Amino acid sequence: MSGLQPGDPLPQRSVTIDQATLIRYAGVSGDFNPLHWDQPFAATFSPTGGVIAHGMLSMGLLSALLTDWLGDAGRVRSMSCQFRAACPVGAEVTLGGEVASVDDDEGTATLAIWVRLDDGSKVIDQRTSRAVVTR
Amino acid sequence: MPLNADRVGHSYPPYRFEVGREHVRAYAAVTGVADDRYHDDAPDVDAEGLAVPPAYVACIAGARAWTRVMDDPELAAHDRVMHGGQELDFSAPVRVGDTLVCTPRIVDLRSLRGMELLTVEVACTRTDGTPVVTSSSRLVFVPEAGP
Repeated sequence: MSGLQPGDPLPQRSVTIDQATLIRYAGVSGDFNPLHWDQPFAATFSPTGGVIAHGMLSMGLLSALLTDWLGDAGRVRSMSCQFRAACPVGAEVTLGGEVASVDDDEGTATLAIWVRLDDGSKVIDQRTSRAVVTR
Repeated sequence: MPLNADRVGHSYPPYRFEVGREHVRAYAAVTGVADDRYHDDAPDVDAEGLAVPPAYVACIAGARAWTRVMDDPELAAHDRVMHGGQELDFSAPVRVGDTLVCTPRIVDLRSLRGMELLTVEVACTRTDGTPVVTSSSRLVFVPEAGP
């Protein structure tokens, strides 16, 4: 996977985020914020009025995509994600990215990465979300 | 009631985190890693030293740091909170078998459109102090609706 060039795309993935996914993610990560499983609690302040996915699950889906695409997760130098649209339970999300720029001196490529809902809403916005990887 | 801005700069007690094979396996499964090395049960697959998926750092720098922050009576955090953004900066990959020492610290607190944005940094090092990864989480606290 050496020699990444600007414009090179990451493969895309689509994933359905159901309540069981959020429960599994809570159990593994230890993030038991009731915003992600308790409907009456979530209704009091959630942007959707209901349970939403963990931002770190969306980032985790991108992390999995990078792990598989790069073939070595150790190539990731940094990741930065801004969580925008909330992802409601039951949503199908699509994720991907592309090489935004390369740095020959550092031997790195900067990837613009994104997660979207099927209506096009940006859960993770590629304008502000990046991964820096070794080329 | 607003969070206490005097806590900006405060560090919480460090904790030790051991990166275990089975935990990384569970994380890889729920986030959809396809690579067999993260899943295979065959006894000849040796995952010792395997680099973890980068966002696995959420498990290292998340819950236990979070407990320290939320249980800090001087900060006065509350549970109406969402995650606004996340940065991970690696000095070295995190690998299965690593033991890390993690120190949470409050680095910023600001208001935006009636909400409070708290930035919590968790610096993760080897036991000899060598830096491995720093996590920076921006947490959005939503106030109770007014009367």
